[in-house]
Amino acid sequence: MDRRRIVRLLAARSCCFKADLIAAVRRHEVFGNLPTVLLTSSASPGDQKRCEELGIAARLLKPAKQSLLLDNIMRVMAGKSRARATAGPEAATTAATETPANGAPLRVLLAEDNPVNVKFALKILERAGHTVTHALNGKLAVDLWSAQPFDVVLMDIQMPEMDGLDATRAIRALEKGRDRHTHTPIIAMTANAMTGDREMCIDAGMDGYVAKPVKKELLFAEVGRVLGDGVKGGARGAVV
Amino acid sequence: MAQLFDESELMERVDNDLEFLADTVQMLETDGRALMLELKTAVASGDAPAVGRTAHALKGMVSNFCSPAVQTLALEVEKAGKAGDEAGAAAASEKLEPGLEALVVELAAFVRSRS
Repeated sequence: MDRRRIVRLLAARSCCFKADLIAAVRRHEVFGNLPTVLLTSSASPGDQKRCEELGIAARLLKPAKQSLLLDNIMRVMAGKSRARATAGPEAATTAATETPANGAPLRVLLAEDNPVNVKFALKILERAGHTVTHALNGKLAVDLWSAQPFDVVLMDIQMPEMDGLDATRAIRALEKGRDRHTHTPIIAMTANAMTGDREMCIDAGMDGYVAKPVKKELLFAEVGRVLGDGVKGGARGAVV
Repeated sequence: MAQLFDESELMERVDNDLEFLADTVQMLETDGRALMLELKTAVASGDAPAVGRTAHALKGMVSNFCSPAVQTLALEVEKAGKAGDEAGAAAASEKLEPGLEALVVELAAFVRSRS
């Protein structure tokens, strides 16, 4: 008999990460090796790493669409370790299965507070096969950037708590403080149409600029431009 | 009367994914209307910086739905707010509210007609 099943765990917002419960399942004689899909109400920096440590195959933020959940279950049951996921209200990592035809998937940090803008950006990025981590504001973006590596940051300008300009300055300052100096390209995404906005973004330490509404051709052209020569996976410009 | 949004551009933008469009239109209904309410409060209290910020957010949200007319209305409120022009912001806001409402209604009807 095929005894494979998927263990479905719910991680309550108030109780953060149910690591102990998942670890207990992992130790279980029958269920220990089963693929696991995590449904959770929230996410925070470090969750992705903990999921990997606990062998969780996919992580979805509630409410997860039925079709997306089924899709992930099918992928996980098929033995694929990475699955598609949804974005959430705070910070969520999504992983895609499709590899772009002309380059490796990018690890993208998306800092954007407007849920509609997030949904559209995720659609574009996930469809191209990129892994997206979403931050609801500039402060969360800096925290996430500090906790894990990203190939590129897409940064909204006007956000609560910390705006995109201050977040960029903070990231640049942190980069300078590191032993091995790295430079994560940051692209502004803004609905601003005022004179001098582009210069303001560049002055803050950003590398590029795309106007909202974000159009995939223009976005990937700009991503390709900022990930040009000298950047890890330099040919990734052709990720459309 | 001309449609407030470009239907073919919008469908291309959502990759002809009607479920995705329905979801985002619903988000515009709730979040867009909430922002409009916030904007009216800011206008009523004469808080010009808040007017500018809120109109900017609304403009960004609306821009996803291929409606340059309503996007321009939001831009006018944003400009007035950022310039500290309270009277201008109030006048522009009065035009934006019915524009946004009409767009929401049109989009919802469009989604229904395609479902």
